[in-house]
Amino acid sequence: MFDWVLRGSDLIVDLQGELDLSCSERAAQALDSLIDANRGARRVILRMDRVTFIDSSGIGMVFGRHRRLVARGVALAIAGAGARVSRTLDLLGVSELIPVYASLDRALSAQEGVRKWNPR
Amino acid sequence: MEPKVNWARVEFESAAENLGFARVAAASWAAGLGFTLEELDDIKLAVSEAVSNCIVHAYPGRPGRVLMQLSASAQTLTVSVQDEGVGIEDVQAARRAGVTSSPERLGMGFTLMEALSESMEVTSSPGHGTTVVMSFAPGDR
Repeated sequence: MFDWVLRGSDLIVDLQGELDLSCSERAAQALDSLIDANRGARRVILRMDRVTFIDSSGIGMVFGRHRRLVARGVALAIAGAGARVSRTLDLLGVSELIPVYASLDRALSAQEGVRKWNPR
Repeated sequence: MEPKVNWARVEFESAAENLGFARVAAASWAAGLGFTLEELDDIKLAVSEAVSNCIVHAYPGRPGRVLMQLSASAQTLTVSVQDEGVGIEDVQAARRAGVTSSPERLGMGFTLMEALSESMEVTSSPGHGTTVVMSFAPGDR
């Protein structure tokens, strides 16, 4: 359902279109399968560059994935959300729970920064 | 002289496939009222929340009708989303943030609608459906 790439220990998933009730269940299942198939990943990055709309159903789907990943010790991040999607994420306080980066590059370099600080 | 009232009614099945249509219908109808693009996006989000609530809650196990009514008077847009479904027993409790029927859902629909609109009212009673009425005015943010 999604374009994705495994880059080192980051599973990068390209979300697209409108994330609302009409697709949240299918998206949840597709993401869960993808995550299960890539158990070596230490972090899942949801790219939202091509997401045109998100509401609380879409964010609920993201939070559901977050819960499952946290239980496995895997991090989740959001990257590249446009102005409109970012505003909705802000309204629901998503960044209090999940790191939200302006771009994929920022997300990738943030992780590198953490690794340099904690070389272990 | 009374300000002129324009109105529209849009009725559709309580199916998630109709969410995109409901959002765009409301925004395109409201477009002539002087809202910015960002304000129209707020209206789309509020409509998405209201209609999603109908789809998730109103008609367990069977489809039903959703009626969206739009009216405009003196540049104020009123959007009402109504169903004839099971209704809400305790509206005040349901409106509290995080109250939800399922772990995959946020329970933030009403909270979002309140934040996005100038005013929001919810009327409901068990067995008699639910109506959400929201108003929006340009320059509100």
